[in-house]
Amino acid sequence: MSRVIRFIARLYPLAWRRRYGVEFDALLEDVRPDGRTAADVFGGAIAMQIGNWKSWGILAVAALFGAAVIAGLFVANPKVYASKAVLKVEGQGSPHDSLDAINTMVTKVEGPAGLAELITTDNLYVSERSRMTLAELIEQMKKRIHITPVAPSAADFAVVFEYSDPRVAQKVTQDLAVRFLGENGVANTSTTLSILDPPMLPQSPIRPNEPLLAGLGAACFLLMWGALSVVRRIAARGHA
Amino acid sequence: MSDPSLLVLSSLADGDKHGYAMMEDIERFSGLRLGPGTLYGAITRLEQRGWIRPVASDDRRQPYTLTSAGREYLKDQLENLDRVVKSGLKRLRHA
Repeated sequence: MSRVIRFIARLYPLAWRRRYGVEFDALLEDVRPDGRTAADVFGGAIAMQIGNWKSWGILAVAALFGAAVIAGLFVANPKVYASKAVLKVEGQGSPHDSLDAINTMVTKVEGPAGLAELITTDNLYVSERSRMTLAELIEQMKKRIHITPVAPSAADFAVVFEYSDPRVAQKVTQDLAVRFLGENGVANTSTTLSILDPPMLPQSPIRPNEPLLAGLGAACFLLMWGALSVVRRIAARGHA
Repeated sequence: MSDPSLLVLSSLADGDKHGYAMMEDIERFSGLRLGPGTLYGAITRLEQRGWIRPVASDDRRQPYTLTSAGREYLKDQLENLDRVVKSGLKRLRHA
C-alpha cells in the first residue's frame, strides 16, 4: 500500500511537487499506509490539479469529455437503414384463404435455408461471421425482417429489411420480395402477389436517434463542466 | 469546526509544528484525523495567503509557523465562532 500511496502522490502538479514534494513524502512515511490514506492523497491530488486549472481548461476538458461520450454512443449504436417494399395481394378466395397463403409464404421465405442463401449471396454480416454461428446470423437476420399489413382492411403487406448499408438493405428487400413472388408461383393457391411499391433506397437511418445522442453528449458536457467547477471552487475554499 | 485551514491555524497557535505533529495535535484537540492530502491542501492555501510560513529546518519534515496576519485571521475566526457558540447555547437554554 505504501508504494501505491507514493505513486498516487506523483499525481500532484509538478510545480507543487517541487515545492512540497520532499516534506509530503516524509509525512507519507509517518502515516498509516491504509486505503483511507490512499483515498485522501488521491482526492488531494485531484483537487490540487483541478484547483490549478484555468476556466478555459475546465471548459476544454468538459468539452472533450462530452465529445468522447458522443463518439462512444455513435460507435456503440451504428447507423441502421430500413428499406421497404409493398406487395399487393389479389385473390378469388376469402380474406382468410389469402392470409393463410401469405403465412405459408412467410414461413418459407423466412426459413433457415432461404436466409442462409441470402446471407451468402448478398454477402451479409461479414464482420459478424467470425464471432457468430450461421444459426445465430439467421436469427439476427430474422429479427431485422419485418412483414406487416399496410392497412387493416387489405391483405397487402410490406416487407422491410434493416441493415447498416442502405444499398444492401434495398437489395435484400428486393430479393425478399422476389422470393415471395417465387413462392407464390409454386404454391397451389388462388392468391396472386405482385410488387406494388418496389423497395426504395433509404436516405436516412432509422437508428440511432442522432439528436438524442447529441443531447446526451451535451448533457454529459454540462454535468462535467459543473462538477469540475464545483471541485475547483471547493479546493480553492479549503474544504477539499 | 471541520475547516482544515482553521484546524491547522489552531494547531500552530501554540508553537511551530511539522505535518505529522499537526495531524496528531488536531486529532487530540478536535477528534478529527486529517489525511495527508487534506492537510497539505490546507497548508498550501494558508502559505499562499501568507497566514503561515515554513521555518528553517535540516529535517525533511518541514515545520511551519503562524505569521502575524495568520494569528490575526485565526483570532477573528475564533471570536466569530465563539459568538455563534455562545448564542446557540443561550438559545438552547431558553428554548
